[in-house]
Amino acid sequence: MATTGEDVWVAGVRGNVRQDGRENSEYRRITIQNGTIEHAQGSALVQIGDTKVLAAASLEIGEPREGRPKSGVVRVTVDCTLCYPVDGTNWRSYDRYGKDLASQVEDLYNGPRGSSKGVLDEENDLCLAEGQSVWCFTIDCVVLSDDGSLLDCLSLACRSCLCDVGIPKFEVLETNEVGPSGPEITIEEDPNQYWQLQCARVPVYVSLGLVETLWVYDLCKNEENHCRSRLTFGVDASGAIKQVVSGASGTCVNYSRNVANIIEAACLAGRKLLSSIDSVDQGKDQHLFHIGK
Amino acid sequence: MEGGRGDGRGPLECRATFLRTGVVGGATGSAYLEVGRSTRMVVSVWGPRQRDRDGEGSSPHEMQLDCHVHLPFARGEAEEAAGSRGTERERTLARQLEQGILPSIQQDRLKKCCVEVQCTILESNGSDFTPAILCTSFALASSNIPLYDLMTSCTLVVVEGRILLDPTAAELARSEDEVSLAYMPSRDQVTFVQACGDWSERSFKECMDNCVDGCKKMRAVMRSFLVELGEGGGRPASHSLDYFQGGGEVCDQGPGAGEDDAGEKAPMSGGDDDEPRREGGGGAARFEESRVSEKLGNLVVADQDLDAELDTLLDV
Repeated sequence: MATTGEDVWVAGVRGNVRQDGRENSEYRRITIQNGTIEHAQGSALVQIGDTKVLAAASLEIGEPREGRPKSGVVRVTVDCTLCYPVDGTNWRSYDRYGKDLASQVEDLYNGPRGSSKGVLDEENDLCLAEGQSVWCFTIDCVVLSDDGSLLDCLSLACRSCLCDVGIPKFEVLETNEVGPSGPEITIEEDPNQYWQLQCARVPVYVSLGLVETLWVYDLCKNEENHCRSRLTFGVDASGAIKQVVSGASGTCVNYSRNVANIIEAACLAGRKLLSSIDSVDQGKDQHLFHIGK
Repeated sequence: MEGGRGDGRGPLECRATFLRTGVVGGATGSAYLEVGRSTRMVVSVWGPRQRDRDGEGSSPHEMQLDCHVHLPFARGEAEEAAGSRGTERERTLARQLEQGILPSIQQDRLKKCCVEVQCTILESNGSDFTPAILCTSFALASSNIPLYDLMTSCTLVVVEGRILLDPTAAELARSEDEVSLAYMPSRDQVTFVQACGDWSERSFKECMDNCVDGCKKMRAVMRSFLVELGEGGGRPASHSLDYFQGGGEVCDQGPGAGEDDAGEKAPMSGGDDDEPRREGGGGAARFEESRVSEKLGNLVVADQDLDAELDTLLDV
């Protein structure tokens, strides 16, 4: 007998109906607007249902990370103090939450420790002078409202604002080993020439809620409170898995019965999501997703 | 053994693990863990006590697990240089530990309570997460806190296309792909996943499978230590060997595992020779023994309950 909100929700998932009328495999409406911040080098406002994230990317020349002399650097900051009721000192916990989210997205872009390349380096040459100067991207995200699937929305926002970034065409003329303030490079800049960052292989997050042997895409906040078992996959357009993390309160996957189906579901969702985002023109920016199967 | 692992292990072989309970006097439960003599940590469990009304986490009616990780000495050079990075690492690890261990606790029986876990990592070589989960679960099992099962954990890396279980710090630094799991064997549930790398669907499943096998091996080791404690440590070697072979279906290298076991005994006897430490926790250890055997009984009952539950589910 259904008694609590959780029971009602679980019963609904078994019958493939959710409280807002969606099926288990249905996303909410996703809206992506590029260029929302005029003076940022790249920006995007992304909405999944009522979850809203504003992201801006800025570009600078900096030093590469240790052990990766030729690859670009991505830094992410997330501010989520705007979207929660903050009183007393509990802003600290949201501050930490924002840092956790940011480091997770950073890890997604940087890949595992032992690899020499990040995600962006697969398609773009971000190296100006090996071991000395590379392009550095700083993505500042502000969470305007959180109605579930925040990681999915964040990763979409980061990807979209990177797609929006135009990188000036530079020609490196001279590289000096030692200058007064570290290594120096001399460059020639043509102010009218830009190249667009290629982001086709940048992954996004797909979060799944797990109920018994079923899974549910794109949980809203209310559903996240009912569903303790959640898994988030970082998946790229080819369906490759880049990162997997557990939801906030642990994950209970019934391993031998479920795991293959869940992995397949996440890869399928990632492929469909990204192919439909990439195929939409800039002007038409509203889509509704249904993963199917 | 195929070469390249430095310490002569096979690719799917874990380092010898040594566990001991009752190391912190006054705590509800505590455990000390050594992995391959280069990772050492102490975990103490305090409580259950009444939870703070305005504490972090879920609703105030739920159980709260309050994990703290301390890394007083075990900091890499990188952290030392970055200064504050050490605390960042402590915090992340505490959060992961909380996520991983919480599903093994019978939270329904501890509503509005807070259980506090203090984990001190004395020395670390390799993944911090895996030994922290093992040690915490062992400490919980030695306290009176109701659990569903022992939580096991395993880390796997891919280095130059080869899958390696239980990596050392050097192997972690070279890893192309990395997976950490927490897994409850008797419920067949994965309760925590952290993975970073580049996989296809198939290869990711393969990595998960290997990792889960590693967890099952680790369960055999943990159970053998629990049994030793329950039996009063009379004939530890034969017991742990039995259990190791009992889990034979998940153990690829049977004879190798036996040797491993002998390896575990060595630090065990070393620990007993260490007089001051023994005296320090002696009384507590004896007290723990009865609790642990009780605990083991509980665990078995929980398993049976689960089987019955599963049966009814399947009938429906």
